[in-house]
Amino acid sequence: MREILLEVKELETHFFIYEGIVKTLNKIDFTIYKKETLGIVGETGCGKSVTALSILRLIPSPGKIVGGKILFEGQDLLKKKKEEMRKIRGSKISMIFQNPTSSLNPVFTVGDQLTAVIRNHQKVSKEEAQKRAIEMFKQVELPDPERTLQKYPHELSGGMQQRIMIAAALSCEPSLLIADEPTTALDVTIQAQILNLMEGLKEKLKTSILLITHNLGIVAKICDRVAIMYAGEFVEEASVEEIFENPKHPYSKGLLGSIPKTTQKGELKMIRGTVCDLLDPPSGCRFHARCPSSMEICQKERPGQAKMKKNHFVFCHLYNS
Amino acid sequence: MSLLVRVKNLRKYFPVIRGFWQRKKEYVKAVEDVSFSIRQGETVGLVGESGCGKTTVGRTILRLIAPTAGEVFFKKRSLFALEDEELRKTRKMMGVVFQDPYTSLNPRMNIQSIVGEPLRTHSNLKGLELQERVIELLGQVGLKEDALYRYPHEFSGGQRQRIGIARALAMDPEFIVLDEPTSALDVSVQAQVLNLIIELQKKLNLTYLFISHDLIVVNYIADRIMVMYLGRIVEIGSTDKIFNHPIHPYTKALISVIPIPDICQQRKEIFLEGDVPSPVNVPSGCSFHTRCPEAKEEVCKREIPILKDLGQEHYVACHLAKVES
Repeated sequence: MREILLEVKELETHFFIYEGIVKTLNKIDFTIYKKETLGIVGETGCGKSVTALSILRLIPSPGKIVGGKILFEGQDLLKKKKEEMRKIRGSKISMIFQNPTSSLNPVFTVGDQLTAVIRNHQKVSKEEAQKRAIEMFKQVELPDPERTLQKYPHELSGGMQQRIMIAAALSCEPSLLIADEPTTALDVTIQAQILNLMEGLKEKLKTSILLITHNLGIVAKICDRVAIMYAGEFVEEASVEEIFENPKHPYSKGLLGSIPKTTQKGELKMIRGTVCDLLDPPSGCRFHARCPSSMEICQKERPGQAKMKKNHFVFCHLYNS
Repeated sequence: MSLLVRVKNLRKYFPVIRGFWQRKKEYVKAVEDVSFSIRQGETVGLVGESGCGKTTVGRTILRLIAPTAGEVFFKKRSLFALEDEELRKTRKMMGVVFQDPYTSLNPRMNIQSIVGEPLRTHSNLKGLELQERVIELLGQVGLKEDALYRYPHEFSGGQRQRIGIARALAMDPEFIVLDEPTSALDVSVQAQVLNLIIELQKKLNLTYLFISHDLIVVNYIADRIMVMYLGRIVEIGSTDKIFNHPIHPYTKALISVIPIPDICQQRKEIFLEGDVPSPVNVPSGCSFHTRCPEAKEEVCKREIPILKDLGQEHYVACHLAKVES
């Protein structure tokens, strides 16, 4: 039996805006085990970034977590005080974002920023923190670590900045690293370096990774398990092999069918229609208006979880017997 | 198939003026000695990473940017030698679709004005006739008549891209440059727009230059592919050759690291060291030699390689490439 690191139960995050309440996360459940890479995949606006920010309780106003539990190492993060969450962020659970340039402070050297993270969580002297920073720079394969410490973010390329973000995120050896589209802003060859680095560090430091992406190619490369999200709900969760070889949910099938294959050239399958409005989502299954297999019950009841073999879960009335 | 577009030794440098007092001139060598042709009816993919010069090539061959040197022939007429009336007539035969559906449509113009603009500029259509033509164009891209009086912000990214395509088709062009037309779109929307682009090509007998950094999309849509690195073309070949039998070390590395959404098809990756050098300071000789896993010879540092014909329309600019028997 694998050990559970993070268990999210019925998480609900809403945004309270002038026009009404945007029900961004609609009671979602998922689990991250120790030492695995879980990918959350979905298109723009499906709620994947909000999921990540909810775990760290970084949802900006007018958003609010209105229900559910986030059990990290057995303790509910939603019941922690602000001070306790501060101690967890950056040391037990870390996060890296899509655009490293906006995550790094332009008026401080990268060395100063990294030592600040280290000293924030560990009682060490400035010299010790610097040594640790150099060590981390070597771990993320940055050339000439001592010199790089003195540089400002704008003096470094996107790939190098992202390595620094990874160094900062892993400096306190977190059990969970959340990576929100970490390579979307990078070129393909640099992306490959960064993904390779992340995989290597995950093995070494035995960290779990929650990878948020819209790119199924990256999922195929580095994830162990995948959860597919649509309009604020999970529709399918399985091992990466199962998702690609045996997708069950009509949305998953549609998504996989719409990506051009390198092996065959046929017409790309399309999902008709557009995503529903989260201010006024439809009753029942949020995908029913676009689903080629929609039945009457789909418009009335939200589908429950159906378990297929090999730890493959689908949220679809087609499979609920 | 006849040649529609022929590009010869195209060069585009952008000056960079540094220093308040010094006024020292340096150049961003965006496009350097680029030559290629496009045959009527084909789709040629132009790929490379950011900063390689592919967008500049696209804009220069449409004469949206003035070149520093070189020539572009469109249907055998030199594009850069044309002026005024002659240039206008030739411009009618070319169209362009841009990457960002949010900035390529004027937010203050309604759809009828946007799609009608080329018609007002190049034709004598007015009033009802103009409107009918706009409705026809919108129909071709799958949009209804009710779009006419609406504004860009009322449409989704995919719909705006369709409007951009309708605008590009307005004057019945023969050649369209598509600069990353689906990069800003979600995967499922991308599929819709790609299917549309392919369908229109068959229906209207169009020729495409498809610029993209997304090799999966280019593999799907292009007949031939040109790979660029730091302003130069390093390899040209059929889609099959480039994808399955790349010769240039950069192409090999690029193809090996594309994230493929398929478990069974994971390739052995070639990781390139370091970052792309600045186009202000292009390395000597072969500009790729600083990162090339195969560069061993002195010649790689000294001489700029030219595109060699390897047979079967496969060209490589590499000192180490051997001519296939």
